[in-house]
Amino acid sequence: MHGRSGSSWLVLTLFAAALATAATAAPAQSPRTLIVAAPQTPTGFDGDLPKVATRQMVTQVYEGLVRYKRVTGTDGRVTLDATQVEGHYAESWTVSPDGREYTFKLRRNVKSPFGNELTADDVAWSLDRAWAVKRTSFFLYNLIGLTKWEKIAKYEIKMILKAPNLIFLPMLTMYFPPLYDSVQAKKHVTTDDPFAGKYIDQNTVGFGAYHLQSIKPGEQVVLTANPNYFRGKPWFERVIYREVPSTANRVSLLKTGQVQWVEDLPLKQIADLKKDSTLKVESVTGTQPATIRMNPNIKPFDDLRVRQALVFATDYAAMNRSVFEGLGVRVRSTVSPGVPVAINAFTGERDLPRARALLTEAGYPNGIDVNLNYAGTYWWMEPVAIQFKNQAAEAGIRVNLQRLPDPEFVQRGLVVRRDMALATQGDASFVLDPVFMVWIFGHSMGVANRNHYKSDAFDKLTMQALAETDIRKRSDMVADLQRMHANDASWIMLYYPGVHQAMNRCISGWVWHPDDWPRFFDLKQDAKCAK
Amino acid sequence: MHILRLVLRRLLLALPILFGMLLFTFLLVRVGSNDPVGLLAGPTASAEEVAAIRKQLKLDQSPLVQFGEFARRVTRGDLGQSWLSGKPVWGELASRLPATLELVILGGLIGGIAGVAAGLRAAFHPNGWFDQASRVVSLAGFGMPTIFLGLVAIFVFFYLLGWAPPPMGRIDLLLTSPPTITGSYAIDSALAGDWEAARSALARLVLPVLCVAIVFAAPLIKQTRAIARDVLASDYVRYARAAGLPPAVVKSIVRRNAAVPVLTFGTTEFIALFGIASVLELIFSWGGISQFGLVAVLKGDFAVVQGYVLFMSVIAMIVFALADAVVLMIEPRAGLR
Amino acid sequence: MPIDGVRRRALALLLASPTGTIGLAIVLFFLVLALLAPLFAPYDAIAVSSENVLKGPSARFMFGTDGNGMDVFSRVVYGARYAFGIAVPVLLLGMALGVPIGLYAGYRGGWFDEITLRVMDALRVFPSIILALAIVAATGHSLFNVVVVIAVLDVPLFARVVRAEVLALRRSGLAEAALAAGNPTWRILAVHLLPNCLRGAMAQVPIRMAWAVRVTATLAFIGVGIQAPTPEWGAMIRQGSEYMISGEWWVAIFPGTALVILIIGFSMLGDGLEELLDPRSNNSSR
Repeated sequence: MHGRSGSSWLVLTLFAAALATAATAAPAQSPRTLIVAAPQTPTGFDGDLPKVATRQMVTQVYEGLVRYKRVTGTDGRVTLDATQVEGHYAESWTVSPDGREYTFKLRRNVKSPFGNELTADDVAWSLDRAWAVKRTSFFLYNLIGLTKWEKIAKYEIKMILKAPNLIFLPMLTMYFPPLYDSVQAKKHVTTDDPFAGKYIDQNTVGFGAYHLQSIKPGEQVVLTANPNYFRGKPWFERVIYREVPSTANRVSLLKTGQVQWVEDLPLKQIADLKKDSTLKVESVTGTQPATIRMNPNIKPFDDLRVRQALVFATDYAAMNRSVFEGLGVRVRSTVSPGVPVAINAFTGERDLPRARALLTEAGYPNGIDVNLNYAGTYWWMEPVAIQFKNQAAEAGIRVNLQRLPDPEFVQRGLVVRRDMALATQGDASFVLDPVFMVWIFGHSMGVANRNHYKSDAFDKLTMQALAETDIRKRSDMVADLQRMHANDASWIMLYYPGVHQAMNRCISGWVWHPDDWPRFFDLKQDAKCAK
Repeated sequence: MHILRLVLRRLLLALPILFGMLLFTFLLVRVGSNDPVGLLAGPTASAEEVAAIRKQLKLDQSPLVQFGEFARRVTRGDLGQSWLSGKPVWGELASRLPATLELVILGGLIGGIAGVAAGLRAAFHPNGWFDQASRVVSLAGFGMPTIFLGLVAIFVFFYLLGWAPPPMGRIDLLLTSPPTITGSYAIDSALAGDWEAARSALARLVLPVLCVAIVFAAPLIKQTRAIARDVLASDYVRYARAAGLPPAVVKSIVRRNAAVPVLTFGTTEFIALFGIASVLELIFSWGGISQFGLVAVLKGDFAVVQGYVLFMSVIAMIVFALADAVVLMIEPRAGLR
Repeated sequence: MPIDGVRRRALALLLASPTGTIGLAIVLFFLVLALLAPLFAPYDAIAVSSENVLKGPSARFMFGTDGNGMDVFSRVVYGARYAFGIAVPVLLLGMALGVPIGLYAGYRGGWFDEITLRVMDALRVFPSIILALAIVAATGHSLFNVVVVIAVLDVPLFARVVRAEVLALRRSGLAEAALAAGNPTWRILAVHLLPNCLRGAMAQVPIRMAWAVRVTATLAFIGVGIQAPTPEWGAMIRQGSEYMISGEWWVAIFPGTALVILIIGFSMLGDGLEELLDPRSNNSSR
C-alpha cells in the first residue's frame, strides 16, 4: 500500500492495537492499599540493629508479649492506658511472690505468614539472639536485670529478673525483643551467622499484622497483611511506603489525595494542614521533649548559676510562637504529661534581670560566650538554636551556633562520649513509666542522659525507685527525682512539639504509641467518604 | 583499528589518573572526623559495641593497611558496603545510574543540538536579531544557577500553571515501575506495553530534562558561535569566499572545522552535567546516582561517597574516550600530535 | 607609565561595549550594596522577630520574612557581602596559585609541565560540584574550607590560560631576549612574562567570580559549607525551597533573583572584557 490512504490505514491499525492493549491491561481487583509518604524508605528490618527508617517497619511486624490496655475517651478517641497492661501474644502470666519470676502462658494459634505457630521456643530463641547481638534489646533488658529465661512447656516460658522491677512488664509492650519465627529464621542460619542476621535484616520473620512483600531501594517498600494474623485481617491489606524526601512534596501528595498518610512534617506544615478541611490532623503531646541541655562537667556550665542564667534568659512564649506554631506543650520535667506522677517540676518563666544577676554573681558581669551544637536530626533543632541565640543575647549570653553533621552529632551524644557543652537534644521514651523516664534522662548512666548530668544522690534514689514495688513509695520517689533534676537546672526545658499525624480525611483509627509510630492494623478508610 | 589503538592508549594513560582518584577518595574519607561507627552503632551503643564495630570494619588498623585492603577490593569490583544500609555500594550505584543517564543523555542531546545549531546560526548572521536573542538566552541560561532554575520551573509549571506533574520521582506514585530492560522508565514501560506508565514517566521527564538542556545549551551557544566565528575569520575560509564558493559550501566547511573543537568543549560540559544533575535530581526526587552520592555526602556515608567518586571517574573516562573516538572518526588527523 | 594609559584606554573601550557596561553597572551596584550594607538594610541580618514568621512582603518587611522571622530584604542586602566575601578571596587564591604554576610550566616545560597537565586533566575529569561537595563535607563545614576548595578548582583554569600565553610569548622570542640579556629565571618570569600573561588571566576574572558565587550558592543550597543563620543567598534559597509549594514564595525568589542578576552581571562584564582584550578570543566560559 502506498500513498496517503495506505499510511492512514497503518495509523488506524496501530491506534486500534494500542487501544486493545490498553483495554486488556486493565488491572485485576486490587487489595485495599494504604499509601504512605515518608522521608526515607527502610534499608534494614532488624529491630535490634536498626538502620534508617527501620523502626517504622518493625512496629508493624513485631509485637510484644503484652500490650497497654486501650480506652475510648468521651471524644471517641482511643488512647493507651499507661497503668494497665494486658496480654497480647501472652494470654496470661503469673509473677512469683518475690517479684522476680514471670511465667507467661502464650496464646494459641498466633501464626506467622510462614504458617508457624508462636511457641516458647521462639521466645527463647529471640532472647538468645538479643543477647548474642548485644544491642538495644540486650541493653534495655540487661539493665533492668533480666538474667535468665527457660522454656517450661510448649506454650509456657519463664523469665527471671535479678531483682523485682515494675518496669519489666511495660517494657514488654514494646517490640524489644523482637519475637521471631525461629523455625523460619533457623532455615537461614550459617556458621558465620548463627542468628540469621543477614536474613532478618532484609526480610521480616514476625507474627505481627504485616509482612514485608517487596523492597525497591530508595523508592518504596510494600507490606502485605499477614494472612495468619491472630487478630484477623486488617482493613488495609497492603501498605505502600514511598520515599519522598522533600516535606513540601509530601504535603502536596497528601493534598492531592495521592497518598493517604504522611510521616514527619514540620509544624509549619502541620499548622497549615490543620486549617485544611479536606485533610485530617490528629495530635498527641507525645514523649519527646525539645530541650537544650548543658553539660555540668564542662566549663562554664559547672556553675549552677550559669545554668540557671541560661534557663531564665530563654523566652519560652516566643519560642513556642515562632518555632512550634503555638502548638507546643510546655516541658515541665523529665516525665511527659499524661504519664502517672508527672509533676510541674519547673515552673519558671523568662526573667532577664535575674539571668543577668546570676551571671554577674557567677563572675561574668559583662556576659558570657558559649557554643551551641545542633544538627539536623530533628526539624526543630535549627529554628530553636536560632531563636535561642537571639533571646540569650538579651541577657548578655553570646551564643555561637555550631551545626554538626548528623552522624558526628549523634556520636558525640552517645553515653560513651557526651562531650558537647551545650546542645539541643530530643529523645523519646518508649516506655510510659515515670521511673523509666527519670532513669534514662537523669541517671548518670542513663541511655538518654546526653548532657552527662551526674548526681550521686539522684543515682541512689533512682536505683531505689527502680527496685521499689510499693506504688505509693515509688510515686513519692519519682516526684522527688523530678524536682531534683529541675533544681539542678541542667536542662532548658522547652516544648513537646507533639506528635501530629497528618492523614487523608477518610482515614480513622489512629492510636498513638509511645514510639510515635502508628500501627497500620488500626487504620481503616470510610468507604462512603468522598476522597 | 587505528582508532581503537589510540582510544586504548588514551584509556591506559587514564590509569594513573584513576589511581590518583583512588588515593584521593581514600584520603577523603579518612580526613576529618568522619567516623562510621557512630552511624552504625546507633544512639544507644555502649563502649564495647563501638569497639566491636570498629574492629569489624578494620578501622583499628594502620591507614596503609587500610588503603591496601581498599585498593585490593576495588580492583575486584567491590566498592565496599554502605555505612548506612549495609548494601554493596556497587549495586546501589549501578541500579541508580540509568535514572541519571536518562536526564543527562536526553538533556544533553536536546541541549546539544539546540545549542550548537543556535550557535552556528548566530555565527553565520552576526549581530542580527537571532544573534542578539541567542546571546541573551545564553547569558540567562548561564546565569541561572541550576538550583534556582529547577525551583522556578517547578513553581511556575507545577504550582502556578498546573501543567507539569508533581516533582516527585520518575513515575506516578500509584503506578509501579516497569521491569528493567534499558533502565529508562519511559522506554521500559513502552516495551512492556504499559502505556499509562510510559505516559506518566514521559511527563515527568519533561521539566528536569528541559532544565538540563537549558544548562547545557547556554555555554554551547556561546562557545559554538565563538569557534565558528574563528573559523570564518581564518585565512582558509576567507580565501574560499574570495574564490567565490557559494555560502552553503562555506557553511559546511565551517561546520566541519568547528566540529572537533565544539565536540571537545562539549564533552567537558557534558561531564559537568552529572554534577548539575545531582541538584536537579534532589529537587525532583529523581532517585538517580548523582542524588544518591550527594545525599551520601550529607549523611556522612563515606563508603558510598568513596565508591561514587570512583564510579564517576570511570564514567568520565569512558565519556572522554568515546568523545576521542568520535573526534578521530571525524578528523583522522587529530590522532597525530 | 604605559600601564596606566592602557587602563584608561581599556575603560573607555569597555564602556563602548553595551554588554560590558551593563555588566559593570550590575557588579558595581552589588558591590556598593555589600560595602554599605548597614546603610541599606533596615534590620540586622540575623535579627529575629518571633511574631512575624513567614509574613509576606509588606511596608515593614519589603521582601517579607522567612521561617525564623528574619527580614528577607536585609538578608538579601547582607548576602551581597557573602557573595563578594567569598568570590574575591577565591579568585585571589586561585590566581595566586594558578598563575605561577602556569608561568613555570609554560616556561620550563619538561616534567613539571607534564605533571601539571596530568593533574589538570584529572581535575577536569570530575564534575566540580560533586568534588567541592565531597571535600567540604569531609573537611568540615566552614567558609574557609569552601573558599579553599573552590579556589583550588579554579587553579587549573588560570594555569592553563597563563601557560598558553607563556607558550605564545616564548615563540615570540621575548623570553630568549631577556635570557640573553642575562636575567635570572625568576626575573624573566616576574618582570617580562607575567605582565603580558595577565591579560588572558584578567579576562577570566569576572567569569570565575560568577562561577564562585554560583558554586557557593549551590553548596549552601545542598546544605554544605554555610552555617545558619548566615545570610548567604544559596542558604536562603534552601530554606525557601520548602515553602515554595505552600505558597510563601518570597523566601526563595528574592535571594534567587539577586543571585541570578549578580551572576549575569559578572558574565556580561566578562563578555565585555573578552571583546575588549581579544575580539576573537574563545576562552572557555565554564
